[in-house]
Order: sequence, then C-alpha cells, then structure tokens
Amino acid sequence: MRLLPALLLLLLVCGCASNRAMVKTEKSIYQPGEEIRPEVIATGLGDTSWLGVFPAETPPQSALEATQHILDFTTFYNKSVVFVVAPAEPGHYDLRLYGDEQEVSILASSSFEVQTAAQPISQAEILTSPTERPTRLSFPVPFRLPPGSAPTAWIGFVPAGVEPSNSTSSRLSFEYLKGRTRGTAYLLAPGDPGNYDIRLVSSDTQSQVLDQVAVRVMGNP
Amino acid sequence: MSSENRAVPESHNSGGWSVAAYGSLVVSFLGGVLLYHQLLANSVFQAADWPKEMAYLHLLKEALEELRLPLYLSRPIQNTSLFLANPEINLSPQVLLLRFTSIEAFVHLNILLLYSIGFAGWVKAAKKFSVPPLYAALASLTFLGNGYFLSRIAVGHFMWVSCFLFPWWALAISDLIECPSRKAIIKVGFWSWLILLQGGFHQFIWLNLFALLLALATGGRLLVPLLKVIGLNALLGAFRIVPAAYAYAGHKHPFLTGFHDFTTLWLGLIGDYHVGITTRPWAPHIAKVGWWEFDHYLGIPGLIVLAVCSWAWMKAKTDGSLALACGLLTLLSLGQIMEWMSKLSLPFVDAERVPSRFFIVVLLFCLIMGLKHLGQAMRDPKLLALGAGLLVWQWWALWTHLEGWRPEIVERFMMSSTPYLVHFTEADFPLYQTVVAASWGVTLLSLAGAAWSYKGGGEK
Repeated sequence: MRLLPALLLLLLVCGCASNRAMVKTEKSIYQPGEEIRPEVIATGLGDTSWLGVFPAETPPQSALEATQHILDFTTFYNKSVVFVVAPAEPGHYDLRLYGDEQEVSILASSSFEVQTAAQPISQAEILTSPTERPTRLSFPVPFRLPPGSAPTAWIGFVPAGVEPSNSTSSRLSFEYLKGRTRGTAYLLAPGDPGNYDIRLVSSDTQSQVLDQVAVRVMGNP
Repeated sequence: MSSENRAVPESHNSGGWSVAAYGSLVVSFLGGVLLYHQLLANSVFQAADWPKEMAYLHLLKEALEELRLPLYLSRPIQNTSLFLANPEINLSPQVLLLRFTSIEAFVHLNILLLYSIGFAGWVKAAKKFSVPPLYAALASLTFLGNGYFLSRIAVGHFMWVSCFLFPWWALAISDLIECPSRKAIIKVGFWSWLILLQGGFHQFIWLNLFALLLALATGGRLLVPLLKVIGLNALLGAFRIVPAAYAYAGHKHPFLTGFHDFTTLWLGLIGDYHVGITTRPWAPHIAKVGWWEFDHYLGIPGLIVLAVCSWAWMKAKTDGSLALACGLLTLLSLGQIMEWMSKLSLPFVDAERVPSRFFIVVLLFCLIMGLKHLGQAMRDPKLLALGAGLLVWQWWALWTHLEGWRPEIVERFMMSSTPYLVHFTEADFPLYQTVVAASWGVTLLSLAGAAWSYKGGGEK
C-alpha cells in the first residue's frame, strides 16, 4: 500500500511530460461565415488560452507571432459559448489551440475547408416561429444572413411596437453576429412579461430590421 | 499545553433539555431553512457562476441517466476538459438524486441536506460540551446563516455548501486535541474526505492548512497526529487531488487578494453590502473581486455572539495552540503572506488566490470553542431569555442582509445570457484514465484501511 503514493507520483511526473490536447470540428467543409463550434479537449490551459482560425499555409508559430495571421479567435475561460466564424473566402484553414497568450507552440490543431454554398443565402431569416417563452430564461435562436453583413449586425429582443429605426436604442438582451452567415444566438427572455419582437438588425448605426419574429414572454409559474 | 488534555465530559443528560430548549433549536433550524429558501426561490440559476454549476449538474445528470463514465468534455471548463480531474465538481452520494429530480430541485435538496447535517453538528457540539441548546441555536445561525454562505451561494459558488460540514470537522479536531488516538485521526480524515466529495477542494486545502498550522502551534504532543491527519487526507483525497494535479500541472493561478487589512475584515463582519458594491475609497483592491469574497456578515447580534464566544474561550485560558493557529490563519487571510507564497509555485498553494476565504475557519473555531467554554456558566434563566431575544434579532439581521443577495439583485448585475454549451465527447488520453483509475484505487483502499483500523484499531 505504501507503494501506491509513489506510483501515483510517477504517473504525475509522466503526466506533466505528456499533456495532450485535441481540437475537432463536427464536419470538414463549412460555408463562408458559418458558425463553427469545435470540440476542444485539453487540460492545464491558462486563463488566456485561445483558439484561432488561420489560413492553412500559415507556418506554425508562437502565439505572439501568429496574431498577424488570425482570421477569428475565441477564448474559453468563463465563457459559456465557444465558437469561431468560418472565413469569407473559400480555401483551406486550420483551427489552432494555444495554451495562453505567451505560448510558444501550438497545442493542437484541426483542418477544415470553406466552400461556397451551391445555393447562397439570399435573405436574412430568423429560423424560429412566433412563440411563448418564460421570463429570464435563455433559449436558442437560429438565424441566417447573406454574406457581407456589418460586424455589428445583431439579433435581440425589442419591445413590440418599437419603430424599426429605434431598434438599437430600445434593444434588451442581444447578441452581435460577428460576421456569421448562419449560426445560433442565445437570447435571454426579458424579466417583465409582455409582447416583444426578436429582431435581426443590420448594424448598430443603421438599425434596418432585416427580419423579426413576435414572442410573448410569460411570467414563470 | 497540559490543559489541552482536559476532556470535557459528554453530557448524557439530554433528557434535561426542556421544551423551550428544543424550541430554540427548531426556530434556529427553520430560520436557516427560510433564509436559504428565500435565497433560491426565484432564481433561474443563470447569474454569475450558476451557469457553470448548472453545466456540471446537467453533465452529472446525463452521465447518471446514460450510465456513462464522465471522462471528457467537449470544451474546457475551469481550464480543463477532463471532467473527473476537476475537483470542484460534486461527486457525493447525494448526486444520485439527480437521476430522479430536476437539476433545480437538486440544488435545493443538496443545500437543505448539507445545512441539516451542519445544524446537527452544532446540536452535537451542544451535547458534547453540555451547553444549553439555545446557545447552540445561536452559534448555528451565526455560522450557517452568515453572509459568507448567503453571498457565495447567491453568486453560484455551489461547492461552498461543503463548508456546512465544518462543525463536524471542528468537533473531530477537538476530539483529537483531547485524545490524539488513531480513531480521532480517522474521524478528522473522514470529515475531510466528505468535504472533498462535495466539490469542496478549496475547503479541503484550507482545512489541511489549518491542521498544519495547528501542528506547528502545538509542537511536540500533537505534531505527529496532525501530520498523520494530513497524510490520511492525502490518501483519502487521492481520487480528486491526483487527477487535479495531473490536469493543472504547470497552470499558473494569478493571486487576487485577501482582506488586505483589518478594516476590510471588520467591514466583512458588519458591512451590510450587496452584490453591486465594487470599489470604496478605503479598499480600492476590492475592485479585483466581488464583495462576496469578503462578506462574513454577522450583524450586531452575530457580533455579540462571536464576542461572547471569544471572551469565554479567552477567559478559560485553554486550547491556546488552537487560538494560535486561528491567529496565524487570520494573518494568512489578510493576503500579503499568501501572495508571497503563491510565487513559490508550491502545489495547490497558488490555487488559494483569495485567502480572505480562510477566515470562516477562524469564525468556526471561535464559535465551537466558545460553546465548549461557556459550559455551565450561562444557565441563568435571565441570560437564556436574553439569548432567545438575540436569536430572533440575529435572524432578522441576516434576513435583512439577504435582501442584497436575492436572485433578482444578483441577476441585475451578473446575468449571463447563455447557459454553458458543453457535452460529453470521446477522446483517448490514456495517462489521464490511468491516473483516474489508480487514484480512485488508492482512495478506495485507504477508505477500506481506515474503516478497518477505526473498527479494530484501538486507541493508539
């Protein structure tokens, strides 16, 4: 029995020397601007660990050197949703995981391809029906948007009846689309019961409503 | 130190407790239940750290329902995707309830269960030290209902419920001081293990740190037994410590803050602040962390209870080494020493980056030792009437404090729009699996050995 702690210590030393990490994507081909929700299986990451999208031809570099080539990135710490956005240009790309901002080597990577869709998205759409939701709970709202939207295009709750031009100033919980052409936003239903719209709006400044769906928010039972 | 050998006789006169005595316990117990009910009743568990905790519980429920070994997550949470290497996840037996209840109901049940066990610990203390139960009711409410728990549970530090088991740990330490037998060592180890099972990893570290300080403070007589406690804790806790050490090897935890000074500590005890407080001119470092890292709110009545307990302990002029250990832990909770120690890269020490959290152990021992030394001194009916009034006043003070930590208030400041999107996935990290299997093996063997030793091990 006294050998067991020693065995564990040995395993621990081996463990430190052979930490591994994996990055996986759910498919190998994405459309431009499509949301990518990768699986990242790793440990011992720093609080500033991050996952970046790079052109496949980018040589393996330290985190600091790599920053000039990043097309999109995400961190993990205290972040409830992890996604990156597929580049707008068709081609081959890598997802690369760095342990922290000072990391000198790539911990893991995964390749994917971006191909233009056979039937490109022609109009913005919120892919949910008019619905009833309880207050203060979030729920998924899938959406589509033609490529080339402003980075500050957003989707979110607005009290029903608000003028389209006042959408941005009246918005409640919302999420920026960050260049995504298709993906899922998670919106928090307002705390006060009532009638609301979920609106997909072109940008913070233009406030053109591209699509909207009515939602009735009910008090929690 | 000879006075520490003085065993306090256990009361066998439980029949002597009057209806009023039991009444005070019932009032205290229900008062605490009401506090936690109010704290959780309207929560959607989506503010502050609750989304992370709900993700853990959701994953546990899924693992139980699908009878799968929960090894790999689809993304890191707390810097690791290795589920069984994350020591703050609740792996206690009551987690099995998740098979039959909703996650929200489990949160309520788990808090109620651990609160009840903690409360029973205070009743046990009253019996052990032959104290009128009213004072146990007061000490219980002071400890189990103070701002330390209310504020932390409000912001989703769900693993903090493991602190509800602290009274039992303190009683086991008290037994060990009176008679450092093998059984006493195993008892301390058992409670440490139970605390670790609840996800109380930080708490486990503090208690071992306190045991180490106590070992140093007591010197010769208790040095070896307390080091044995720490050794036993390491063996029993291997199933969580070793995978965590594997998963977080090389990970650096930046130090945050302790109380910084005695003014902040004092304000932690009496400051009726709510979740929204950020900075104050007298304590700009608070901006680094939320007020819950300092909140130990007792209010004036709780402060009176603490003062009386501390006075009784000081007056008894005994258990000096315990007082010294408490003093040392208070110094560590100020932060400066821990900040320096965190730079030494000692295993697990740098995980304690908010040492103000330690102070609850000091409060615990002040109250427990207070009960011990109050003894027969406060059986005067007039004092009992005063104590009853204090109990009600204290409950009201805590209820008032709770107002600032209700879900609606916390959500106003710290609402998250998204639940954690995470699921189990397949991967193959053979070393991780070996570490998990071996460390669980060590824990199970150690448990069996400890149980065998406790049953037949005698006094040495």
